[in-house]
Amino acid sequence: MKKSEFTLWLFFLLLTALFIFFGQNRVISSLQYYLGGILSPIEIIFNRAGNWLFFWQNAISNIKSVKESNARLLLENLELYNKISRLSLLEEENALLREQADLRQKNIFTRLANVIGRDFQNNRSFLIDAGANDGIATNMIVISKGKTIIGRIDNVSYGTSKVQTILDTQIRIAAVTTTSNISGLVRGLGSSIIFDLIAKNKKPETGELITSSGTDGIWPRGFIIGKIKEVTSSDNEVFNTANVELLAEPQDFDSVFIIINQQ
Amino acid sequence: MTRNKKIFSIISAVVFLIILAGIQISFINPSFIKINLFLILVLYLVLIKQNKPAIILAWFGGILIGINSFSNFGVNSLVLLIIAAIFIVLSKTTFLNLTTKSIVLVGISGVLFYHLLTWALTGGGNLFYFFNNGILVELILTPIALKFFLSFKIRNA
Repeated sequence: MKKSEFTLWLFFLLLTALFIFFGQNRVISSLQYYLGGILSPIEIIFNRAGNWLFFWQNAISNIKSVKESNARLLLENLELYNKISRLSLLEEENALLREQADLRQKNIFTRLANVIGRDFQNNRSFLIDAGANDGIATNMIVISKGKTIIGRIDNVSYGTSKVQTILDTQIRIAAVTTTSNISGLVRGLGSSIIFDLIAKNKKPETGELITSSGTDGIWPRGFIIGKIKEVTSSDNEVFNTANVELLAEPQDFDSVFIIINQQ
Repeated sequence: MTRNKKIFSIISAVVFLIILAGIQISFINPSFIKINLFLILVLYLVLIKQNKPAIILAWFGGILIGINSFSNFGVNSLVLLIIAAIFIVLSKTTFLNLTTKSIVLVGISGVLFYHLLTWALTGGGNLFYFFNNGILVELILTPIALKFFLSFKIRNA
């Protein structure tokens, strides 16, 4: 080692020794702090680059296991979808059975049936998957899960039945408004229903619910039909009339209850 | 070399070393490639007879990597300075040529010296704590890196 090199080396050695022995000194600590400040942005950049590189290095080296795990997860996902779908159906069925049980507590025995055919030209009728074999007979009342009248059994075959909805022109239901207790007759007009034969001196409120009164001996008492939409009154008419709004359109139902026996 | 050129080259060297320290601390240290860029650079400069730059680099590089080190501030500098001195002395007597054999020997002994000195100056512990996969990779990669950089130098010369 040349003399100049040795001098330089000794100088730096002493300087380093100074750093080591007086590391807690304010000047040395400040130097360390400022050098750290200069280095930190570069460290951040390379740290990010490193992370990015290690991520992809890991991804590439684990590509086989990732693919296997992906395939397994896809399979699990499909199974879960299948389970969710089954649970959803069971939930729906459970709700309907609860409704049926609730009706049974009120001594109304019903049978659950699914809608299997519709006529999309009109809503006056639809087909259900219960027939004479299931104890269904003509003129039995068909209701929905909200205790709303849908119609009655019009035609029965061995395994299926045709339901005539309350929109049909042949339907007549003795009804009463729930709040003002005004009696009348609900009639199907084909595509809508009206609350007819309201006494001239009585005027039901708009939005009031109409239920079956049971006075006709055909339709059971206390089932909801719809609500008053608009009352029409004319001087040359003997009775007042009201347009009725259905709570749910017949095409909205996928399953219905048929009242088998009411005690 | 004019004064301006000298200042520019000093600033460039400092910036280069700061970037190198950034790479060492944030990129190489967390990875599986356990190499010490400053050790390689010091050994390289000693082998091409640039002793003064090697001493300066040993000190400054040690300071830079010592900022984020768990050991006392300055220990890395001390280790690199001692290694630089050892190899400057040895190069005058033993490693007079740039053959592959010499380069491999310098690389391996440099790494072993570095770890041994670090171990001794940081309070000791298990003597063979550094014999792990990390040092094995370093022992392989340091001579390769030295040979790679020296091949450029020889080609340019």
